[in-house]
Amino acid sequence: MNVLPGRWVLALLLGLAAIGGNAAGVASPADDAISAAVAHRVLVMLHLPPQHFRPGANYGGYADPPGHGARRRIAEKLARENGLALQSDWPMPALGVDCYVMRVPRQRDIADVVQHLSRDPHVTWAQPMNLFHGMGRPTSFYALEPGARLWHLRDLHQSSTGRDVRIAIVDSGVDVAHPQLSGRVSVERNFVDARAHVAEAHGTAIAGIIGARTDQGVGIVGIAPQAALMALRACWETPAAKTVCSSFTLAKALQFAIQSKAQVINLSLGGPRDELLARLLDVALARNVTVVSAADPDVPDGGFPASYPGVLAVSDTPRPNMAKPVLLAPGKDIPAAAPGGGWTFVTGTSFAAAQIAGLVALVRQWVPSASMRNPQAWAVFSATANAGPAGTVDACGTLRQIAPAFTCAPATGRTLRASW
Amino acid sequence: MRRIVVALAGALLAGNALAQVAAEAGIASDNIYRGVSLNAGAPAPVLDLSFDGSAGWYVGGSASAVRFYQQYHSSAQIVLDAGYARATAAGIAWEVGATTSDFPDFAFYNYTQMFAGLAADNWNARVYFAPDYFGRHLRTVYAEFDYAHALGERVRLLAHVGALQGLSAQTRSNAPTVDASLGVGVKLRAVDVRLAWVARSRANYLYPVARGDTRHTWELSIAYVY
Repeated sequence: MNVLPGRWVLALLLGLAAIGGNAAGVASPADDAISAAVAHRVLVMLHLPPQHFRPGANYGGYADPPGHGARRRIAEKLARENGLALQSDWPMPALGVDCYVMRVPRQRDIADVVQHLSRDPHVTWAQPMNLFHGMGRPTSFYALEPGARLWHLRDLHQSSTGRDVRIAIVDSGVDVAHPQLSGRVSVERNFVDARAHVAEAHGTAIAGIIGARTDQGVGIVGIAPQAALMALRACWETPAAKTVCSSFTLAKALQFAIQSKAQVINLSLGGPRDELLARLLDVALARNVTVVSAADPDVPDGGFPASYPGVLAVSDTPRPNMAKPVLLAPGKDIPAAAPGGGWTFVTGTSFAAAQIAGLVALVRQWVPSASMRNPQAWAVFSATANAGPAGTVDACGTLRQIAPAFTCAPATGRTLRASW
Repeated sequence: MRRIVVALAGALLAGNALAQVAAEAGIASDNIYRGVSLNAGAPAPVLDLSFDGSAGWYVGGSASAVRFYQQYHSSAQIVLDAGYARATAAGIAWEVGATTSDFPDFAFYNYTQMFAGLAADNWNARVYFAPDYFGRHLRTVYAEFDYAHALGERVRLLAHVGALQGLSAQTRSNAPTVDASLGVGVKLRAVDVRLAWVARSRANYLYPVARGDTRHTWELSIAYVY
């Protein structure tokens, strides 16, 4: 099957499609209102007891965490005593806490409020609500699918397509009706607001890069076209085309991903270190989930969660100053799906991370337990003209390293084992 | 064992000001226990109270009605429970505990049982051992599995299967009595409504109740959750 038509045909398609695609991706005033709504908030964690025997639960089974009303009353009392407004809550059984969102009056200092709440013996811990942002932007049409060229995707797909590997895409909304994503998203959840379907640019691009279907002969080639995609909307796009997420929305999505037994979690976003998210990442990592995150190019240590131990940090340019190993993947002018059924080109470490997440799915189809957290598991290219910057991940070499029986055509150039 | 359960309950209540208190009050179309109608098909109150400590200890109590064999009126049943539950990194919790079932007007039917189990977000499995089940001088073991599947934000499918086996010489050779139920639960704000079809494999005359031979029935309950 001819998956990629001629360059000029695709470029023309992209050009036409991007017009409609971008229009559908424009953020609404509601999205800006969401950003305002999460500012000046704190998160308060209350102990959530594990499920246990209840005498009145004959034939009741379990579905609700026990004693939610009790914790709600404690949260209301805490809010009242501290002059806060209780806004929302979400159970995080993976951490054994219920998470409550409280609004802090403008004149109060967030750090003081957190410190005061943390002293209350009912509170497991409290923290500010942090904001995170996606790391990518649309760019002009310039090149075509560097990942496909570099990694010989069509050859790789002869042996692995990431079939049934569960990938949680924690991002902005995914256009599940896009022709290349139609039928590819097995689970769609919105942790930002009540809308059922929200098609946004960043999430749609990430989902397409990871798992766009390849059976239509046009468009892009997803790295793992048969992986089971979970589109978890934890971020929203502002009218200024920024992708923004909060501690709370990300935590809800991570909790869901863990509960749904995701094998790979893609976090193409970054922000300040966050206690709630760090603890959820600990749980995910303890359950052998591969967590992939984009390294923030503007932050020396790559930002959070890329800098967090156990998380695979991905960049599109070498990061010699980062304290941990960084995987390199193409991140410039990546063809991607756009909301509204079109395509566009995107640039940023967000999209490099998405390619690594897709590649992990190809690996885990062969070796389901492979977390790929050991840097020695990755093969990288040496400096060659065809293979991109030295140190870029070599997909075929990596797959062969993990599963020697894997067959693929090596890319031009010598491959070396990663030696961080 | 009864004293231990009561002492544990007292200790937790007295020493743990941080305990989370939850309660439920309502009515059920019958008091169905392990597939057996304990209240002769008559409506029974549902009163539950639970305290969860921060360290994993918990105690609880419930009250309902039961109508014993050859009695014209229902009498009270009070169940106390205490246990310890702990979550593991794998997302599964384990627990051990004990319950006492007291019948103030028919104290010779009082009995205690110990249990151990595993639980996750939507299922639990538990094994109970009773050295003197319903005061009949018979040792029994009961194993159960419960499953809840969310059908939406407020609606869940509820399933249960359990098997009771006698361990004493008189009952050891009998086949286990299997009970099962399938139902639906709906949560409307603080009100919990459940409807379940309950059945068991055979009549078991171990239960000293007025209508212990009923093989299958519907149970409807409605309760306010505090």
